[in-house]
Amino acid sequence: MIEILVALAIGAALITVGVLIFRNLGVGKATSRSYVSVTLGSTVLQNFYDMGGTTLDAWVAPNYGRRAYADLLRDRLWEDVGKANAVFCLGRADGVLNSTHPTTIPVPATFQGQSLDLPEKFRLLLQDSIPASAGTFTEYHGASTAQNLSIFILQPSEDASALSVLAVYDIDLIATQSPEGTYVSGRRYQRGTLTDYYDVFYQKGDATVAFNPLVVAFERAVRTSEVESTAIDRLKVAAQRPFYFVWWPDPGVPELEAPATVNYGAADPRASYPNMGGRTSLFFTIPMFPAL
Amino acid sequence: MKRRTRTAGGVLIVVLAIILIAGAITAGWIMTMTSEMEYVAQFSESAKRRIATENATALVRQYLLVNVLTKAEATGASGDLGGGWGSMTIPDSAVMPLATFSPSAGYNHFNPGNGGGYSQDLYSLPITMAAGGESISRRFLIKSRSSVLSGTPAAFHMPSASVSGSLSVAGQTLLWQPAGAYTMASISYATPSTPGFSLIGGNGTGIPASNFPFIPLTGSGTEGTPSIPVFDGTLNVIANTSGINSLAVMSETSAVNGRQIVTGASTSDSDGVVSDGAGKVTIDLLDPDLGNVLVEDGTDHLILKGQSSAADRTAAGNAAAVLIIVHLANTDPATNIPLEQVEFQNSNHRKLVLAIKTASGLGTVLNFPQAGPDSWRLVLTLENTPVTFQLSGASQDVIGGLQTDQAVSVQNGSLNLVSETDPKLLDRLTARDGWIEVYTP
Repeated sequence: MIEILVALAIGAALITVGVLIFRNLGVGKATSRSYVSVTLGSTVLQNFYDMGGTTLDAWVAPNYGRRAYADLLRDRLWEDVGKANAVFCLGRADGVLNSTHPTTIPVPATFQGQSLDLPEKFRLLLQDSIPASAGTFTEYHGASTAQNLSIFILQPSEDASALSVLAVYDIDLIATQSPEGTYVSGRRYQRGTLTDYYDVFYQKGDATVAFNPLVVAFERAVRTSEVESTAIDRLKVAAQRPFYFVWWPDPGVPELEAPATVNYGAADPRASYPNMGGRTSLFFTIPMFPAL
Repeated sequence: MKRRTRTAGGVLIVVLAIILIAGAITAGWIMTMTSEMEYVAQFSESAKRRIATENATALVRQYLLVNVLTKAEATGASGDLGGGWGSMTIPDSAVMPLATFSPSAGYNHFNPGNGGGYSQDLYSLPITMAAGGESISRRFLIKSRSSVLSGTPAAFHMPSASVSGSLSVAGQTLLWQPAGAYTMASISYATPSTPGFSLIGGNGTGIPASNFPFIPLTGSGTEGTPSIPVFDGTLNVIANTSGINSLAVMSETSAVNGRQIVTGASTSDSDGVVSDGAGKVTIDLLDPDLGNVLVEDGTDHLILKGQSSAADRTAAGNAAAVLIIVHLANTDPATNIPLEQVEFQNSNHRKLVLAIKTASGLGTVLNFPQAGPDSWRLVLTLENTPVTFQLSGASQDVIGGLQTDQAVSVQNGSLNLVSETDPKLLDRLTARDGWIEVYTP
């Protein structure tokens, strides 16, 4: 009987130590193999994946397989940025889908590329050149509060009268009721065709702080000479080149929402994105004009 | 006793089974966590490689800026940050990026040249780079173009450019030296890095500086003797000692009808250029035989005859572009004759670059005596020469622009600088800014 008790004690101790160590190493849930059928609606599925139906089977976060897909999309983004001469990140409001995946963007003969120095100016150009895009993207200056994100990657053009689009990335966060949670989809389009994507479903958690902003645009420090607003001026920090911070939802993270808000001083640039630290491994610093 | 032993054995088997199952679960967990840790380690390696790639790129970029961009030849070099953090090797090169006439392949609308200008591709050197022990490839292009022809009709350089009077710029203004007085109205402006400096627009409100990248530009500077800074906006392009990016050299090599040298100190009359021998030189911009002109010391009055009729303006617009250089090199106060006046008669549609460099630094009056119903097509490069635009009481349009390193004063009217919309032939006759672009092939 004593031997049994000793064996039990050793076994229990081993298991407990192993569980504690690797649970700590794993930082929470390790993985989930489950997936759910998410009701997204026919319009969304048609726009995202050119497919029919109203529901989609999606893996539930955390899921390392989905994160591998996200990593591939991340690598594609870095490849595209390396070939780009300009990158413009535009916000899209909740429920607004992007159908603007052009190959070229016509520009007038008097076009001055240097004047396109803010995402908002690109949005206005896009609206003029491709009228169908009007209403798709929201105005922002500094941090975008829009729920969704589109990234336009431009490359040198063969035509002086048109900008050439290398790729368009769309990141969409869709709140769902059946089941309750958020469906996330990141996609890359080239010449209007879907080439890469990742998606994952986040179950509704207890936290309430949303995954936002998805993009913050930093300006050159020289622009502090013009006082605009605290929210804009605190992001004028770039020495030479304007750049973005971009966050994508991470399928390896169990919950999309964050538990608490971190407070920074009003003049601190981090006050524009106080809740985004440590939320995702899919974080990017992207120059607005990568070739320079 | 037998029954007790049998019971204990059964319990032992159950316990061992539990341990076995728990061990299997733990082993599975360990494998999962190990995979996760390996993923994180690879993620770290990937991040390091991206940083190393940027390091290697920065090494090459710096080498090119210092050794190649403004030179005719350069000795090769290699550099290694160690630990796999980036390395590069560049062989000897004999390229002259600021003298190339190879057009850019494709349009990068988002560069300092507004998509145009010339490009020196360094792909064939070849440059070798490594990051994390693996070779990487980047395409380095050295591009160049006149800032005045790149949507910046006004460029104010080091050391002491400033503006007084009424100057309106339909485009962007480039301010290398923002300490002076700027009273012009401009659509936008760019300055290297001077927080707190702002222009005032025509409506009295501030104009924010451009958010476009201000990367290292040669700023129309080239090396000379004694050493002259290259990247701080010092203007040194009319007759610099290196001969690179020198308008004096360009006027020889790019002359359609041959270049002639004239001085106001002796009489001459050839191909539209007349000197009276008493300091006055007259150049007829409608003359079909007119080529590039170098005006030397002994000239105090330069007359540029434009066109007075629509037919003549059309004919002039179809003629070859010309480069007129006034280079007064005499610094002896006892014998120096300053260029007192440049007179712009009528209006002009011929593509024209007028470059003035005076060693004495004495000022010149740019006289527009007639209120033009039409404009002057003119790119002005003013080196060490303060100028006063003496207008006729009305506004005067100049299609092209100006770059200067000294004070500009506008009197008796308003000067409006407008970008040249057809700069093709002018690109070969203007001093250039140089910069580097990098792409992943």
